[in-house]
Amino acid sequence: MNFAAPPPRRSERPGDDEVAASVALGLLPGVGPRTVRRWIDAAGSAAAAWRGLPALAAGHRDLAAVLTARAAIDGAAVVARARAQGLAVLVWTDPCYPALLRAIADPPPALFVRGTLDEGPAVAVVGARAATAYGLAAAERLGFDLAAAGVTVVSGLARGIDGAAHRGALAAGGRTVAVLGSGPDVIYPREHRRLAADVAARGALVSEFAPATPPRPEQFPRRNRIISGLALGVVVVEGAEDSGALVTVDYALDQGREVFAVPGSIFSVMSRAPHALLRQGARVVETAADVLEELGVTVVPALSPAPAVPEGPGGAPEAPAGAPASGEHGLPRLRSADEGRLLAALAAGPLAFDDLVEALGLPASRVGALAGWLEVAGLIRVLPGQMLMRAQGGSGPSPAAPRRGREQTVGED
Amino acid sequence: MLASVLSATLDGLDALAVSVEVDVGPGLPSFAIVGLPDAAVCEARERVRSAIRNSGFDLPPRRVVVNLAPADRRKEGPAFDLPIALALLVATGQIAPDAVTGYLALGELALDGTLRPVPGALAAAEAARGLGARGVLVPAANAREAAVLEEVTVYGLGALRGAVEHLAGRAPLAPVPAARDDPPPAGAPYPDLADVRGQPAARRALEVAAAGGLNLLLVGPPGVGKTMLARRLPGLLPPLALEDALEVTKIYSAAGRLPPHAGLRWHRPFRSPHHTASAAAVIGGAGRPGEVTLAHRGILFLDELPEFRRDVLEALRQPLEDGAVVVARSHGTVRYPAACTLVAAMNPCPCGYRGDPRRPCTCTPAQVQRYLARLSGPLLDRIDLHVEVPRPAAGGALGGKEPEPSAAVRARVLAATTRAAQRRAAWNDHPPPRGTEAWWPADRSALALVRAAADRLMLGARATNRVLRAARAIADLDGAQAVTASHVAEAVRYRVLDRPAALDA
Ligand SMILES: [Zn+2]
Repeated sequence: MNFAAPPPRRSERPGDDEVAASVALGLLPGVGPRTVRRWIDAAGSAAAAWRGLPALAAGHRDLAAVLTARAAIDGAAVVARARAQGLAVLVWTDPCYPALLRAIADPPPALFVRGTLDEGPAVAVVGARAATAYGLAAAERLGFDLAAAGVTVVSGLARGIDGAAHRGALAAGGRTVAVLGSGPDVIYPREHRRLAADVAARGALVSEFAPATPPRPEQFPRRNRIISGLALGVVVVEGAEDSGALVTVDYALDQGREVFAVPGSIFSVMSRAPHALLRQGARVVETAADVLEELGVTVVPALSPAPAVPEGPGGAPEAPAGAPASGEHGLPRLRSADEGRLLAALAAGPLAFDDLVEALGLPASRVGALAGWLEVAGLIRVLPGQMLMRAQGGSGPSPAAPRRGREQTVGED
Repeated sequence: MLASVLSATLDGLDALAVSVEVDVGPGLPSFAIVGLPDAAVCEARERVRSAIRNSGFDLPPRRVVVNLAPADRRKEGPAFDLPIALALLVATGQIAPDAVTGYLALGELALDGTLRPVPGALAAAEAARGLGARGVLVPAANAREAAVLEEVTVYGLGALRGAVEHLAGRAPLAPVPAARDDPPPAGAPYPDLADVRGQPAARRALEVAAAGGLNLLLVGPPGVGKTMLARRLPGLLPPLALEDALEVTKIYSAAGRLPPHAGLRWHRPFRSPHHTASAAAVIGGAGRPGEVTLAHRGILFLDELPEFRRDVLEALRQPLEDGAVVVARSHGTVRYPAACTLVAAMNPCPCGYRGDPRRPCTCTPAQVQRYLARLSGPLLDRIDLHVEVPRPAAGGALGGKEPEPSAAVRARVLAATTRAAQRRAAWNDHPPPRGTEAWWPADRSALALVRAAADRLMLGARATNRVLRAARAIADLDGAQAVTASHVAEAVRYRVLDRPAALDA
């Protein structure tokens, strides 16, 4: 492993020439980030490397192609277009470039960023796109708890585990960073456009690819080195034997990052990757504390958690004078300790409705009414396969907790 | 010489009286049938000729003209064989003219003179009752079906010879005894819910569907028993009332689908057309009732709902809404009853594993969306209850409680439907506000929760209405006069496919 010392920090941000040259070097075909870094080290700056490219690249196997491309690349124009879109361009020699990422063997010469990056501790949560309800719940819970502890949650904005980790962090009101395998302005998958906007508002979308670069399959394994590179450790939640999450693990090990895995069901093929990692010595993660303790991160409790329960319904009917006040969520309450029992039964993770009926020993009609009410109140969520899970951010009213106000009580018990 | 015998032809589900007139006169030997006959009616010539000869009667070589009146209505099928033969025997002097007076006759003749069953015997008996006929002559295999009506004397005939002997008074037949058997013991012919282990969500949804007469969609991976559940719904419904049983019997009679010698059809139909079925087969067409009508007062089960042809699914909306279907035919249209409960089943996604705790779904959200989009919104809107039937978790208890039998559920359903009927009966004096009939009355907390649910789960107006309908059925099961928030809360869970979250993850 090559742990070359980072360049001396300069007090000043690099000039436009330096930024344009860094971007341009990153666009050279057939030239990897390791080579670009070597050239910048040798020349002293990206601008000098760009100018002295014919000499630096003299030994390159395809010198002619590099020089032809050099004539066609206009780094300044790419930077101008990116900035016009509101993107920041962070180059390797910029003091604002993330320090952890700068130290890996093959850092991107330039990063396109929407949002803000900071130097706080970060942990990557990665896993399968085709995740199970269990995996989604685990990723969302970890994302929530890590973010609530002040840790930035890094992931890849993919379907499944990645999306759940970002969502959990957002629900906690914490920071989260998504590293894209496409240009910073090309959101893939498309249904994550709203999630991407939320991530940019509360963290950053990061890409080493120039704006408008489409998501090509070969770009995704490569961007995984940035996910692990930005983080102190990588948590794998779910993955099949050949999961892309294992690519991230390989990078993490090369970069000297800690690797964690969340155990799964022995019946699920999605447990193969994390279990293989555990067998090889990855650390078991049951809670965010397992990660934080290992990484020596000091917990900064409670950032600004999202409101525990959504606001009252906009279309709630006006209570006529003399009507009993409605419950604390602006909803009529079902008077029952069973509500707390149901939430407690879901504390260990999502449960199918049928199993919940069995666990609570109540009639299906009663469990149905409780679950329907808790869903409308935003305290639980319903996933495909009639899986019920507690909504992150809503710990829910505990049965013992005193409730505010007089309640309109309905229900049969 | 001129003779006429009364008969009937099907017009939709009802029978239209037809007078079969035969004129036998001088001229070149011939046999003509006029009066808008179809091909099967025209072939009566050959069958009648052979049957008469083979029954030991004469057919003199004369000019024979058969007229079916009224002449402006199309006559179908072989049921005119018997009245044509009888009229011919009267016209040739082999039966006394007044022997056939007042009888309505129908039946297909085999070449040897035996009588074969025909569709619509029950409708014909009904027409005979309307005309005050002295008796109905039908093939023996149709006799019990025609005899489910009271005030009509029915004779079941084995062959042409026996019919003539009876009419001539030489060997009078005894009328067929009324075939209105006692209703079978409740739930008798249906599979029992006791066979279903676990699956409390699906069991409860069946109970709610039965209590409210609500349409149900079962969503789950292959092999979890969706069909098994659907087949148990008829056994949860209250037994058919006599007039409903008569109507169902009439439909099956007209469709020629009653087994020979069947009497009143007391059990609720369960129809499960294949997903390749045409619109004509499912909805009805060319003047024939389709599966929705054959499922009248029973269950129409559509397995693999998204695989059904788009035009079939679109055409289903109207009968589901109106409980009746209008089918085009050669002249004008005919209206068939179609008050069935729709039970549909489908996989949660193309690969079938969405939401499975043990295997990941390999479908992209776009694929899932396309799959669900095959069900048009308007059709989904007419399905009251969506319920997921997941694969039981590995290691799930195979033992556990003894499953409740259908009889216990049926008792609760019967109590609920009785209460609902009483509530509606009281509306004569105090009608509810317009547009609230599906759920009236509901308390304030219930309406508040409905609005909150519509808001937070982003349910549309139609979905919200379905929630209230389901809540009404739940309240009736609960013995409650007014729908409360607790009933609404349970009902909210039955709109899974309406939620944007259905496409999450
Ligand atoms: Zn799938």
